[in-house]
Amino acid sequence: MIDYPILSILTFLPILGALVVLLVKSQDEAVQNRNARHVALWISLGNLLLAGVMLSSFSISTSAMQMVEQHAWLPAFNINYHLGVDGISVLFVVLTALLTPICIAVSWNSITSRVKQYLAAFLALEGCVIGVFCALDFVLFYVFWEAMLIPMFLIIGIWGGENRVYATLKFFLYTFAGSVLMLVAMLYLYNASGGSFDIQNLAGLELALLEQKWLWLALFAAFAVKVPMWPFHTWLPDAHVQAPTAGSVILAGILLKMGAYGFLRFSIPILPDASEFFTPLIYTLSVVGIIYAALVAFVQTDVKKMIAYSSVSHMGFVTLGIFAATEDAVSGAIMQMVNHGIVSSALFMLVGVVYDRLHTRDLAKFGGLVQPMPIFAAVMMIFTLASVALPGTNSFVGEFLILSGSYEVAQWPTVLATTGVVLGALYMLWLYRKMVMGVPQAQVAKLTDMTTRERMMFVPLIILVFYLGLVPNPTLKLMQPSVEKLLDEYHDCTCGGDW
Amino acid sequence: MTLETLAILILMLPLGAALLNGTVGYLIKENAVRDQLAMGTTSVAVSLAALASIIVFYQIGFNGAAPMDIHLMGWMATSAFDVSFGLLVDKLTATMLLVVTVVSACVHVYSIGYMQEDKSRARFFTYLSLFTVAMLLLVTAPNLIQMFLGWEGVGVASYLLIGFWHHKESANAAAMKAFIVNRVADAAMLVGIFTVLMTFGSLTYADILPRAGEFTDQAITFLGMQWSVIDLIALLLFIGAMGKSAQIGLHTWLPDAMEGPTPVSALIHAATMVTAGVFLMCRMSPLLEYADTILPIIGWVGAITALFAATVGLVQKDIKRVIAYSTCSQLGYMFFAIGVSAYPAAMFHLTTHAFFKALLFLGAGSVIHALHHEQNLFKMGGVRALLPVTYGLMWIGSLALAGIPPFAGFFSKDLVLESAFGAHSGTGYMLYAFGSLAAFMTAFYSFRVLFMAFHGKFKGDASHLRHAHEAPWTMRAPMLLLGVGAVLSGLALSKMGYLDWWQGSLVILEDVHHALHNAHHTPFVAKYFPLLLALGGIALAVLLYLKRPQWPAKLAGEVDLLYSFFLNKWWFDELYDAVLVRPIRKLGTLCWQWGDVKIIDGLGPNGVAALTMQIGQRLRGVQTGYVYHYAFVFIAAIVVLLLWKMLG
Repeated sequence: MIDYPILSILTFLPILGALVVLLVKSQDEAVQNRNARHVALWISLGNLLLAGVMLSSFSISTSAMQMVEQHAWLPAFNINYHLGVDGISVLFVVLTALLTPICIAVSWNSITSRVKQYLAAFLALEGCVIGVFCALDFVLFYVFWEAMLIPMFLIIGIWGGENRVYATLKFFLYTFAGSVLMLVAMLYLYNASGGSFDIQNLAGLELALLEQKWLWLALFAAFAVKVPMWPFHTWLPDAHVQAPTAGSVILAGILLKMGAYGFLRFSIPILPDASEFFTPLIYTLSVVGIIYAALVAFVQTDVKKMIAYSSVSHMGFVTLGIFAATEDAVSGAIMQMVNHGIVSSALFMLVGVVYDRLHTRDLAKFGGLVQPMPIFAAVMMIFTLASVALPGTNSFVGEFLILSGSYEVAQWPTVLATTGVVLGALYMLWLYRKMVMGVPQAQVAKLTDMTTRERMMFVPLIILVFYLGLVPNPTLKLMQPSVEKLLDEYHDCTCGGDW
Repeated sequence: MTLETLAILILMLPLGAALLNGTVGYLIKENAVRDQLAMGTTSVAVSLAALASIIVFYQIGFNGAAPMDIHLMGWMATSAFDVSFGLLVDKLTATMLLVVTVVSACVHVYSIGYMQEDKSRARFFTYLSLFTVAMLLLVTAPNLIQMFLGWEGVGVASYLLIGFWHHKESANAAAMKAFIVNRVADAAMLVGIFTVLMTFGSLTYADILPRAGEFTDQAITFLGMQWSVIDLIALLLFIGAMGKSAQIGLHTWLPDAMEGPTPVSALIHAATMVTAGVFLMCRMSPLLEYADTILPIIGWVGAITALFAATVGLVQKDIKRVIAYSTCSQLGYMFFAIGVSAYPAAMFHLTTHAFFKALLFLGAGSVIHALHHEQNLFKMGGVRALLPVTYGLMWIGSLALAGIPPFAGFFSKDLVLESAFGAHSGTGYMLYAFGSLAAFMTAFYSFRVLFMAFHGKFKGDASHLRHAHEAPWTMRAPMLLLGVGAVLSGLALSKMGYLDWWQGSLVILEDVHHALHNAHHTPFVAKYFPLLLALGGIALAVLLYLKRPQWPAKLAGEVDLLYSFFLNKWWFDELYDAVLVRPIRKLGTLCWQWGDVKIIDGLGPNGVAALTMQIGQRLRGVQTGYVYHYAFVFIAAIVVLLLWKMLG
């Protein structure tokens, strides 16, 4: 077993690393940038290794929190520094640790100004996000949740595209508005529980249905914006379009997962009756989101917007699965969160690969990429198929479990969501056809294929696509005890709303 | 080597070849090396798999070997179900293994010649093997999920191969259309699979099929309607099958799929993938037997497709499209056999059809190859002296398709029609009538193709003719092999027409559904009437295309509305474009421009921002900067407060 505070190291190593990167100095700017990149990459790889160690010592035979650390932080208010992971959060810690070095590799050549600050922002972001997934104290969670906004805000606002200020503000205001309501809910729960911020304690709280409803809505505001659920999604396409490639990767890969994670960690365990009460609302918004976002994705001409809308559509499956609240549906939802983190990250990276060469995201300017870039075309095909949930890829496992798990309890929403399977194929194959197939225009024809660095970035993601698609059992086993426990407690609750 | 090892090898050989060429081979820079490696490894692997399949088929089919259920690897295990990768090899699967690997091996070898001048041969052969693997996964699946993996896998391989020449816009469009139309069907199928899981608590055939009878009384509310659960499952799975097997309504992708290279059409769009729907229905026969409401629907869809596709096939100008519609039509036959519970007849026809239809496609490919990729029948003619082998083989294929004894198609098609007749029901007789009429047209259009391509005067570009030559041996040998199949498979495999042969892999409730039983005792007139019609069709073709070649054009002019109805494929594409494709685009634009930009952003963030600005602007007006304004407000406020205090 591990006898050192591994979760704290996972959280604070990148944050300290950010400071180290800022200290890198040299007369020659090129040398300084290169050194900073190497330092950041090695720190993030070190953290990935550590996450691997953590995962390997994670026990699949218990539903309890593991690797727990608890220290008094502000004893006057009973605020604790309390970290731990269970089967629901552990995968996201690993996913974050995996995507950060990839993000640094993605930006290797494309970011040339304020390189140190950029890398520091990414490392700080990694630390905060891991903190979010490990925190077991509401205040600690809230601190990381808010702190994470700052580097993200800077990444889009400083290194973003031409319309970055609008996008940044929209992103910030949306998420911040939600967070403020979460703060209110947190303080109310603190009072109601007689002075506790402990997330596991709060789960045992007996609250009246009316109280639960208001609290649920307050939390919903924070989480639904982050997921994002329709109709709170409009910040996402703007943020994605303006963000640098690595920003999009982190945004799609990790940040969106925080909202769904919030539902799993707070709404369902702490407010079970209200969750059940609002389940029809979630179903409706999820299904509308799946279909609506898919339709909108289909008519986009901006490639990044298309993938951004596809994220909204895919996350609709996740929220549907979470609130269907059967074991398969919830496992599928968690699986799908990981899958989406892999697949949409890769799609944004692929768009970035082309953007670095052509400096456009306009679908009409592409076409025929397969001729100058056959390896790119093959990689893009793999992730296109993964995105449309082809059996054998990771997304199929997630989608299948969500839908088969939801079918019995929510027939209409499931059948409607299944149409998303068709629409998803429609826009992804349309994208592939317009972007990769066909006869290349003159400036496309002379592009060069992916470099070794670019190929290497995709290797771990491709391996994961097939590993999770063909051998999903170890991963499913990993989350099973925690999901079981979550649902046992949820279904024990007294109220009986139905759909 | 045990039979089990052999069965595993059938799957692993093409898989190994596809993986080798898809990974290591892909990175080889040298074009020629890469191509040779791909052609060599895939062809050898698939040919060996074909040999192994023949052994397995013989052992299980005719030598009394027991069916096998081999576990390969766990896949998904959750609280609700547990599925593994495995191989279920009974007579049904063994038959499919034979068909798939033999045709695939023929097509692999044929493609070595056919694709000689192509620049991406390695890619082509990798895709072909990949397809074979997916198809094998489909037919050997012991559960519905592995079946679905193969099902979607063949769809992807088909997509990749239709769009193989990705510089052709029409090929890209056709590839996408094929995938999307199939996805629509697959979505229904997925819901069907969910329903199976909910009803049976398992997705493994061994847990589902023997227990189907226990659920006949179980009802389910589906989308607000009351269903028998077995009916619902049967219908949803059948919709899935309609997509893959190009039945009317979901057939539109198949003719367009002819954009792909011709060997692909032979393998995927004639002999194997499109028959997956028929196979699935047969695999589900123990369940389908209880779906009393759905069986007649399957029969009708099949019969209408058989007739519809035949009418369209009468008038098409592209040689491959004629054969494509003919495939569609023949698949219709198989479904209407299923509709009267004559699964053995459907499987028998599936098997013989695979041989003669693949032969016809490869023969057409040989003509196209000789004429510099000319596919228009109206630009062919008179090439029989130049392509004597192809000509002879096309005769065999056409006779088999038309159902003339002793060629393969006669036995199986006859059995299908006799089964329909043997159902002794209104539906059965109607199916028989539809099928007989379609048989007449089938004979006519097969010989129309033959005569237009090989007889008369050459009508195309004369320069093409100068280089026209018989195909190389790599193309001729597979055609000859398939030719042998097209002649003999009907006689040799006639045992397939009896339920007993299938040893429980196909199930018929014989006391309720006796169509197949009666089929073996059909009255003389009913038995030979379709043959008579087929001969009539051939005679008509002789008259119109050999004796009086000026008549067809005149005839088309006489009935121009009907002619253009047939020529334009009953306007299905136009209909779908108007009611589906364009509205979806419009709806998408509407959601985006109105929903997101105007409503959500307009009322939401941008609206709130604008409102804040406005309030700010107004409030700014209050701050005039004049001291007496502030003093006045100050005093007024005090007065109001005092008054309120006093009155309160």
